[in-house]
Amino acid sequence: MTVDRAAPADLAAPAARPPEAPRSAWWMRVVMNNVFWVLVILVLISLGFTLINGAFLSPYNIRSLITDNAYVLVMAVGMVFVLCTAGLDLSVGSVLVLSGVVSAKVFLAFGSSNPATGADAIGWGPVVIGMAAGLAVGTAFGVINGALIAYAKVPPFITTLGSFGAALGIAYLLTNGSDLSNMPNLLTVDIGSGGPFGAAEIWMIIIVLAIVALAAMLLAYTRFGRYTYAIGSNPESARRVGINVQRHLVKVYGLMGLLAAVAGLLSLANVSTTTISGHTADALSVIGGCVIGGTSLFGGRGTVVGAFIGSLIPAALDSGFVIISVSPFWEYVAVGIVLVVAVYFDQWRRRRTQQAA
Amino acid sequence: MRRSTAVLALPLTALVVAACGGGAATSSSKPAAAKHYSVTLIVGTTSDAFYQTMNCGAEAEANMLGMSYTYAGPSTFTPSQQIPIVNSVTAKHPDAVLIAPTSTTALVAPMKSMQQAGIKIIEVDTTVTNGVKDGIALSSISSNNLLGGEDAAKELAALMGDKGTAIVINVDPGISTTDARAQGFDQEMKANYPGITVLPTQYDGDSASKAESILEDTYAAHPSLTGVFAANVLTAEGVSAGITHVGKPGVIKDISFDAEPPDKTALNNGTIQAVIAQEPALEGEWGVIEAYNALTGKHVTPTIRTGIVSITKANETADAKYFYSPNCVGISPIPVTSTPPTPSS
Repeated sequence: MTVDRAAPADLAAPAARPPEAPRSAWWMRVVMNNVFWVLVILVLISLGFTLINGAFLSPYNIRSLITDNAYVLVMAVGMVFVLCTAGLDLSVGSVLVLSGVVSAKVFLAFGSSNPATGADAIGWGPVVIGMAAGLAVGTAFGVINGALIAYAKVPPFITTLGSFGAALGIAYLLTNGSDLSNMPNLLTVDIGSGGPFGAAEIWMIIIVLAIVALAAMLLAYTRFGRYTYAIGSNPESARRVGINVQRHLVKVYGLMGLLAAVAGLLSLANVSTTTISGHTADALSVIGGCVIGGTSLFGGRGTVVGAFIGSLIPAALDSGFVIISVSPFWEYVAVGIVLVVAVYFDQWRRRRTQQAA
Repeated sequence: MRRSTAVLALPLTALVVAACGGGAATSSSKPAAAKHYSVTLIVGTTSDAFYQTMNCGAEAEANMLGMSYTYAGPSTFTPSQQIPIVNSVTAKHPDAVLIAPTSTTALVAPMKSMQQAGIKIIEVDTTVTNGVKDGIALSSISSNNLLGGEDAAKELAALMGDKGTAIVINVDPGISTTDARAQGFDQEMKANYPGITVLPTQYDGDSASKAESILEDTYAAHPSLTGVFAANVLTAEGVSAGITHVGKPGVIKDISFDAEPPDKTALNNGTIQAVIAQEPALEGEWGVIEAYNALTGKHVTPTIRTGIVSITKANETADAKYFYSPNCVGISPIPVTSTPPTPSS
């Protein structure tokens, strides 16, 4: 996972763990687990909507919930790592757009000269090249963010606010402000919605779940993950135990950039156009999802699965309000309330746990 | 149980069909008006007076027809926000949906899923490419945007005295309505007003503040600028603010598509010379009527073109009713028996 062999990995481990709860029965540990409570909130919200209108838990809606929010879910996975280092990445929405635009440009360059068909029919070769180009651009932006934060000591807020503007600006320059469409059928049909209506969109779900599973293991069980927690808990002690903090930060922001680019591809697969103006608020919803899922904005604490479930809560509220026909304006109010209540509840529970210990 | 009594009352042939085909045959033989239909309007963005007025019209018409009505839409005019809403509505499964798609291409797949789920779709304002032709939507109701663009060009050329520099500030490419407006404008300018230089179209992504800075920057680069065509509500807001900021109200002639209530003031104080008003309430009303026709097995008109009115300071009072009414004041349903305005009329 890391080339940093000289670092004594095990020394970093104790800092990684949240304050220990007293050894108790397994069900006590489940009840004290943050992810459990986020899941309870999600289940309660889902049951509430379903009682009013059973369509909420229909297979169609569950599938739509994940595919339509695939880009948010994947970016939330990356954001957990960033937040765990006590960092922040505001540029994710723009990096998503830019890498999507770069991929789209490459697809179209391989496509037919007829604008009505564009890149519809290009084969796997060009599709893979276009995807690689987008992923490379996203990762590069992440690495630049990380380098500025780690080596130039520009605060993450400012660095990523800058790259938020820069990436979006480059996307506008490349497209002259107009969305690119006619994306390859291999991407939009085979991956994006593959199969007939009723059995469709399974690939998107598999991809999202695979990324969540891999990232969850990366954060929880590898040296890379332990370093991430350690840096966020206390950068100075992380440095003293021999972790190359700067290099690790570059990797973490690079991973975020890569996942933003993956999100850009998933968005292209889902909506088959580049939606340049549709992602300016992404960073806030992604960070909100992570925080609802128990990630601390002050670093050192957070889980991938928590962020995944936490991000599904605003998505479920959005969809649920449409299904029970509540005014669309209420969803902002509700998401705001859930965010604050979730964090308050999490803080309260942690205090109790610490007192008990 | 109640259904089976209805089946028994039918003639013998129908009974046989019903017995073989299950419930499907019974519903078509029931009187249509007895069923309580549901209809949902999905707009391009809930923050636009045009769509808010359309919502008022659609709601009034649905109430009159005894249909249950709901309203949904994204806060920003973008497919990435509209598609999740479309999918949620499909899951909810109303009998009919009126939709203003935010992209000619991106909404094709989600609307196809919706249509395949058995929901009757009527396009209002915008369309997807070949929506009606490919059977995704049953009817498309819109202003004649091409004509509106041509009208705007004529008005602007007259105001500019057939000479000078003009620019179109548009929303985003790939939106059926605003594309048509710009096309009509360009066509008319090219054909009949060679004395006017039209700068390349700029796009603001449906943001008033972006439109404002585009206007200011364009003026800085081209001080000879004397004409602007703002292609929709939010663009028009930004453009008239920009014209005030550069201190050129009345000098830079401003024609705006859509007639928001604040435009009255702008007409009076001279930051806007003319507004091209559409009839959003009527679009919503026709949308509901066509949805009702589709559900009750009546004839559905595939293309309906509502009117376009250009309002200047001179006829502002007479045409006051064409200003949009996001609070539903003065909006009443039209009779179902009206004849729909078609493209030829």
